[in-house]
Amino acid sequence: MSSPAQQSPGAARIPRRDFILLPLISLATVLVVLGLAEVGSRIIWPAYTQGSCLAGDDRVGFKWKPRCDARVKIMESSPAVYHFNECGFRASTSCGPKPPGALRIASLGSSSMLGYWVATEQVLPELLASDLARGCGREVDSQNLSVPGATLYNMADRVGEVIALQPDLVLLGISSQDLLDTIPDEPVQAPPPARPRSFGARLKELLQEANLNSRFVAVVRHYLYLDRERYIQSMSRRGGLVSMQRPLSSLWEKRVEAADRTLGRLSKALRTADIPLVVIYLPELTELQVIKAAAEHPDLDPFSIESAVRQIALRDGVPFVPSLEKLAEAPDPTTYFFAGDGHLSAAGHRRLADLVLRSMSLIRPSSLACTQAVATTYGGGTGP
Amino acid sequence: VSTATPAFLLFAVAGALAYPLNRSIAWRQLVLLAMNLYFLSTFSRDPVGFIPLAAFLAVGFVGVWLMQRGRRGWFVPVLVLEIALLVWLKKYSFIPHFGLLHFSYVTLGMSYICFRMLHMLIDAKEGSLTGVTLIGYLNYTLNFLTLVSGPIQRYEDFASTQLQATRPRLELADVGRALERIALGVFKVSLLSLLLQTWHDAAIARLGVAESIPDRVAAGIGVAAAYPLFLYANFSGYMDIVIGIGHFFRFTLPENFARPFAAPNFMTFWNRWHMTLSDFFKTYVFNPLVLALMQRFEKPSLEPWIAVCAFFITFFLLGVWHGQTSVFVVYGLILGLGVSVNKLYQVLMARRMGAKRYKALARSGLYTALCRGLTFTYFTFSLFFFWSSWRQMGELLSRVDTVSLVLTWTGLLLFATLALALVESVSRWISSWTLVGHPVFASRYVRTALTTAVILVTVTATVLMNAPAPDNVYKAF
Repeated sequence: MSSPAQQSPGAARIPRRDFILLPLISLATVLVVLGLAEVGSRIIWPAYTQGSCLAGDDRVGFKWKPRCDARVKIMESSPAVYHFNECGFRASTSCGPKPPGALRIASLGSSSMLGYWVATEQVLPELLASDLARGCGREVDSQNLSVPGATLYNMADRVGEVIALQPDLVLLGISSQDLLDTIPDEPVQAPPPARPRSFGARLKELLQEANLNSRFVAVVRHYLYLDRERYIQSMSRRGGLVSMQRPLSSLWEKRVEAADRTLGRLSKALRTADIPLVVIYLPELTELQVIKAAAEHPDLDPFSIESAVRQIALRDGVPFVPSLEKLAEAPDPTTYFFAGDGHLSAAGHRRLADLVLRSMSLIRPSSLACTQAVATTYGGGTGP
Repeated sequence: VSTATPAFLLFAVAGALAYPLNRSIAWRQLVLLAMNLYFLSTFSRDPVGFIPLAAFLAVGFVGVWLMQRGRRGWFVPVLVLEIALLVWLKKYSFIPHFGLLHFSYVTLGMSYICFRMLHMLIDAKEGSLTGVTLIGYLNYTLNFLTLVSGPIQRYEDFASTQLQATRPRLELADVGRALERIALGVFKVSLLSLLLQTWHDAAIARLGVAESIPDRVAAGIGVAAAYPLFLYANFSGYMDIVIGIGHFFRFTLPENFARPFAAPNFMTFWNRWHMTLSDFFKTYVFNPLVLALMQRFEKPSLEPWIAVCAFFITFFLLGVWHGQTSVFVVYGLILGLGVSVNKLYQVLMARRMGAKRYKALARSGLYTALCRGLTFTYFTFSLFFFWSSWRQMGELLSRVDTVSLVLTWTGLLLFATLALALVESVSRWISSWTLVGHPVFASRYVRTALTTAVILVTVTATVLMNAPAPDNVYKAF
C-alpha cells in the first residue's frame, strides 16, 4: 500500500483497487470480531464434557457404562457430575439389594428425567427420595435408569431391569419428545444417495457444525430464547409446534396410539410384579411458552399431548401427575429450563418434585403409607 | 415513524433513490415535499389533528410573504402571534385549561418549526432573505430529517443545496461517509443510550434501597452521571443518523455536537452542545440584546456587565424553551446563572490577574481538567430540572441525607474531573497514531473496519437485548 488512503472531503473519488479492498476489509473485520466474540464467550461461559459414559445398546438404544463418572457443564448450567453405579444407573447408591427397612424408587425416562446438566442431588428422583426419606423417617434410595434419547418404547423394554431392583415405586417421566419414533412403521426419511458434495453443501455443513459447536452461538441462542415470542417462532420453524396442532395430525394420533400400547405393556408388567407406577408429564419449554402466549396462538393446543397421556394413564389405572398448568403459573417459565438447551434446570426439577410429592396420596401400597403424610405436608392429599 | 428504526431507514433509502431520477429542481422539490408530507402523516391518523399545525405554518408563511414585500409594519404582530400560537398549542402550564383546544392534535416538531419560521421572518424583514416560495417554505420547515429535533439549518444553507440547478455528484466515498455516520448514530441510539438509560434507571432504583452512605453516594453518582451521558448518546445519535441520511440527498446539515464534555467551561460547553440552538439564540436573542443595551448604555466600562446580563437572559430563555412547566423556569434560571457567572468570573479574573496571566492559567492542564469536571457536574445538576418533575425530585431528595448529598456532588466532581482528563489524554494519544505520515483514523481502510465492527456489535446486541431504542428525548420539545 503506497498511501494510507486518506479520507478527506476533498478526496471524494476512491481508487479502483478499493472496490475490492474495502469489502475484503469488511469481511476480515466480521471474521475477527466473530472470532473475538467466540474466544470471549468461551472464557466467560465455559462448557465441557469430561468422560464419556454413554454406550450403544442394540435393544434399548443407549445405556450408561457401569461405574463411570462424567463431569459436564454447558454455558447455561453450573458444573455437574454424572455418577453411574455398578448397574449403569444414575444413583448415589448401589443397585444391589436394598437395605432392610429402606424404600427404593426406580425412575425411567429420557434426558429430562435423567437430569441433563443438573447435579445428581438436584434431579427429580433424587429430590423425591430425599424428601420422602425426611418425611417417612426411612432410608429412600433412587435408581435412575433414564438415558438420553430414549423413547417410551425403549423405556418399556427395560421393565425387567426395573423389576429386578424390587423398587417400592416406579416413576415414569414422559415428555412429548418421548413419543417420537415410537411407531414401528413410522416413516423414516431415507438418506439421499451419495453424490459429490457441492461447495454450497459443504458450506452448509460447516455452518451447521459451527452452529452446534460455537459457544458464541450458544450464548446468542440463550438470550434470544429468553424472549417468548421469538422462542415460539424459532420452534415453529423447526417443527416443534406440530404436536400442538388442532386437531392432532394423523402421525401424532398414531404416536399416541403406540404410546397407549407401550404404557399398557409397562403398567401390566409392573402390576403383575405388584410395583406401583406413577407417570409424570415432563413439560417442554415450548408448551409452557405457548400456554403463556395462548391469546396469540389460538390455533395451538399446548395441552394436547399431556391430555392424551393422562387419558392413557387413566385407562391403565396409573396415577398421573400433570405439570403444564402448574409450571405455567410462573411469570417466566424459562426459570425452569436452560433456555437455549431446552432441558429442565434444577429449579424445574425442584418444582416437579413438589408436584409428585403432592400426588403421593394417590399411591396406595402399604410400604408407602408414610407418603400420605408427606403429601399433606406438600399441600396435596387429593392429587396435584 | 421513529428516526432510528429500520422503517425510517428504508423510507429514507426509497426517497434517496427517487430523488436523483430527474435533475430538475421541481422534481427534487416534489419528491422532498412528498416525503415530508408522508413522514408528517405518520404522526396522526386523524386529519383534524393536523389543522392547528397547518394554521401555525400558514401564519408563518404569510408573515414571511409580507416581509418579502416590505410590509415591515406587520413584523411585530406576526412575531407575537407566532410565539403566542406556539405557547398556546404546546399547552404551557400557565394557560388556563378552558383556553386550550380540547382535541388531540400534532405538536411534534412545532418548536423546531417555530425556530425556522422566526429565522425566516426576521431575515426576510431585514432583507437578507428573498425568493421564498410556498413549496420551498414547506420543504424547509417540514424537512423530514430535521422536523422532530433539528438540527436547525438556516434557510440559505438549505436553498444553496436544494434549490440549485447543478449539484455535486454523489461519489462512493460520500456514500461510505454517510453509512459510517448512520452506523455510528444507530450504535449510539440503539445500544449506547439504551445501556445508559438502563444504568440510570437501575441507579434510581438502587438509591431507593441503599442503606449505607457509601451505597447512597454510589447510587447518587450513578443517577446524576448517567443522564447527561444518555442524553448525549441519544440526541447526538439521532443527529448522526439524520446528517448521514442527508448526505444521500446532498443536504449539508449543520453539526449539533462537537465533543461537548471536552469543553473547559460552561460557556464553551454551549458552543459544543446543541450548537444550532445556541447559534439561533446567539443570533436572534443575544446579539440584538447586547446591541440594544450598548446603544442604551454607551459607557465602554459597562460592556462586560452588559454581556453578563445578556448571557443570563439568553440562556434563561433557552432553558425555558425546553418545557411547558414551572420546573423548566428553574432550568432556565440555572442555565442563565451558570453562563452569566462563568462570564462574570472570566471578567473578574482577567481584571484581577491581568489578561495574560489569566490566559496562562486557563491553559494549564490541572486547571483545565478541574474546570472540565466542574462544567460536567454543573450541567449534570442543571439536568435534574430537565428530566425530572417536582414530584420525582422530591422523591429522590427524600431518599438521601445531607451528608450523602454533599458527598455525591463532591464525588461526582472528582470522578468527572479524573474521567474526563483520562478520556482527553487517551483521545489525544489515539489521535497521534499515524500511518505513513497521516492520522490512522483518517484512513478509509481503518474506518471501514471500524464501521463494520460497529454495525456487527450493534446488530448483535440489539437482537440480543430485544428492547426498543429509547425514543428521541428532544422529540418532546
